[in-house]
Amino acid sequence: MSDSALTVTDLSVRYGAAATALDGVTIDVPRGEIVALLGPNGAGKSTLMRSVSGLLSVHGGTVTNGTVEVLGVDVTRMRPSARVRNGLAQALEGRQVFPDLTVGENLAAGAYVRRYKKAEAKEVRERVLSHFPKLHDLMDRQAGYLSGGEQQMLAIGRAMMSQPSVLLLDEPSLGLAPKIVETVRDVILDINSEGTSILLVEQNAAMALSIAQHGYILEGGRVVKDGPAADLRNDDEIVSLYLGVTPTEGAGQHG
Amino acid sequence: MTTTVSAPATPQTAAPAPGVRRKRLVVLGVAAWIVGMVLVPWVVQSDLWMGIGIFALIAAIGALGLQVIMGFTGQISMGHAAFMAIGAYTSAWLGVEKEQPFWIWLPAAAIVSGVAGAIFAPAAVRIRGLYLAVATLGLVFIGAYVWETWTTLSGGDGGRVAAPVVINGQDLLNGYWSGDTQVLTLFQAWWYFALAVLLVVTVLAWNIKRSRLGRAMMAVRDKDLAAGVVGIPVTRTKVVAFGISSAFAGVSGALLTAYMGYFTPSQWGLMLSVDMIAMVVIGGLGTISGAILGAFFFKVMPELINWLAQYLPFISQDAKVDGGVTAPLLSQFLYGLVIVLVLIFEPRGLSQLCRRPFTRLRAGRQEETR
Repeated sequence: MSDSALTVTDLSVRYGAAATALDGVTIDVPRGEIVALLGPNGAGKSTLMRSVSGLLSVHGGTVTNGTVEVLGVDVTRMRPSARVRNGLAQALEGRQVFPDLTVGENLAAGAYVRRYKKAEAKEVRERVLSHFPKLHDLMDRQAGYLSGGEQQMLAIGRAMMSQPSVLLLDEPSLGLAPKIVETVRDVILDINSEGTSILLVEQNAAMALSIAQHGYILEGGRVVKDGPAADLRNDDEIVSLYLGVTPTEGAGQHG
Repeated sequence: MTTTVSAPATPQTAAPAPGVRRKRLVVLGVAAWIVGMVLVPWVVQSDLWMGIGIFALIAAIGALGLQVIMGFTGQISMGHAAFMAIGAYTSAWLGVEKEQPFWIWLPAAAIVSGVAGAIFAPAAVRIRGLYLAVATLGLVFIGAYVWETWTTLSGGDGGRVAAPVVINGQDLLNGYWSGDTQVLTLFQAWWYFALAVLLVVTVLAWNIKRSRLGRAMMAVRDKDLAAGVVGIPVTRTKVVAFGISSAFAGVSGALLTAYMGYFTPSQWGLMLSVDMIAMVVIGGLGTISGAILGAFFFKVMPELINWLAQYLPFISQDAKVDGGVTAPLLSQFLYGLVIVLVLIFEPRGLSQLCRRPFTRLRAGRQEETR
């Protein structure tokens, strides 16, 4: 009905009684596009991601106002697993693969909500693995023993197993070597080209803006600026704040 | 024969993929284990050791249940004794008061315990770690109170008779007879009965582990937040795990009492839960073989040490008033020592210890092919 894959409307979030982490944030991810979410540490990026994926309550936060919609369906009060059923998937910050499961089992776990038949499961897995040829040879390996880059690929692959309409990527380049970041970037583009909409949270603003169509700048829990990625790339203030020096040294992760 | 020789032997046909070879090894190992277990009653002639073996088989069923909740799902449960008791009283009531056959009371014990576990679970899944341990610990004491006050069911402190296992009109506690000749002794008959139940439970646990549900459990164990985010309903998975775990415990409790013939409320104490946890930890968390190995280790080891003690100097067989080291005392010391040693040298438990030679072998082979 709508041409938005993910809409966050006027969202306010509080942790406990005191701190307001988000204050009336509105964000729109149109179908088939990549949208980048930038901002300094403590701006509320992670809080926004948690509100979208449904992990907010685990971290002691509550939505005080506003809605989160996936494909026009209000998911604001849904459990994380129900949101996945509605077409949302997320590769969490810090990868968070299941370390004691094999790569194959990790992927299968990502398909949980879809209840694929055996042949179908294989087909989906092959399609997902086509983005990550390297994982193909590691299927029987325990995920905990993979390299950081491989784990990131696996985390994204696991999320893709539910064939989501919207993919949330939280800091996919964090702690990876520049060359691996390149690969991750290509994978994101690759996945997007097949129709999955992507909300990308990144410290690495240069990378994010180079592949996004649209960008939002979050500061102090509000959207302070938004516009087409191309414009943001040329915005003096943003260049000096986020693009001046190349990749951050993976500073703090909470925001 | 000649065709196979003339055909060029490609490396692929000569040596199967590592995965295939590993599967073959597993199948071979399982087959050898089953054959070995079937032969035990004909090799072991001692009633004492057969009795210990039967206790181990029954304990293994309960340990497999604990493995589902602790090993697969990563939730500690100190309340296993309570669920074993629920299974035991269900079976005794159905088997004695209602005079139902074992194929009614045994599944019923599983169902009632499983439902009890699932009812308790929603309260338990909200907490984790030590808090969960304490909450499940409470179950044991609530259970103890219930069994001691509900005397019409439990017989009070004096205990009650258990459900008999009757096959073809014969109580297994009398052995199995064909006409006037005894085909199987009490111990042989019970060994096979307990082994059959253990095999069924093992197959169930094995299938759970490899199923969608099992993967969900292990995902919850590894990273519960990530599990939720990839679409696994964390709470429901934990509740189901509790239910299955309790159902296995119920079967174990029912069998245990049926084998003993008579039981009292006092045996469902905290130590029973702790013993079960010890079994899965020593055996190896998260593995089927670990639960079974752990149960056997736990039941056989103390007796073995007890038996060895008689060949040691300065050790008296019986307790003496003038102090000194007695066999049972030494047995406890050594038993504790063995547990500590196992956990120091292979924290992943006995099942990993047993796999070591094979993993070494495989690693060696891979080195060669490189």
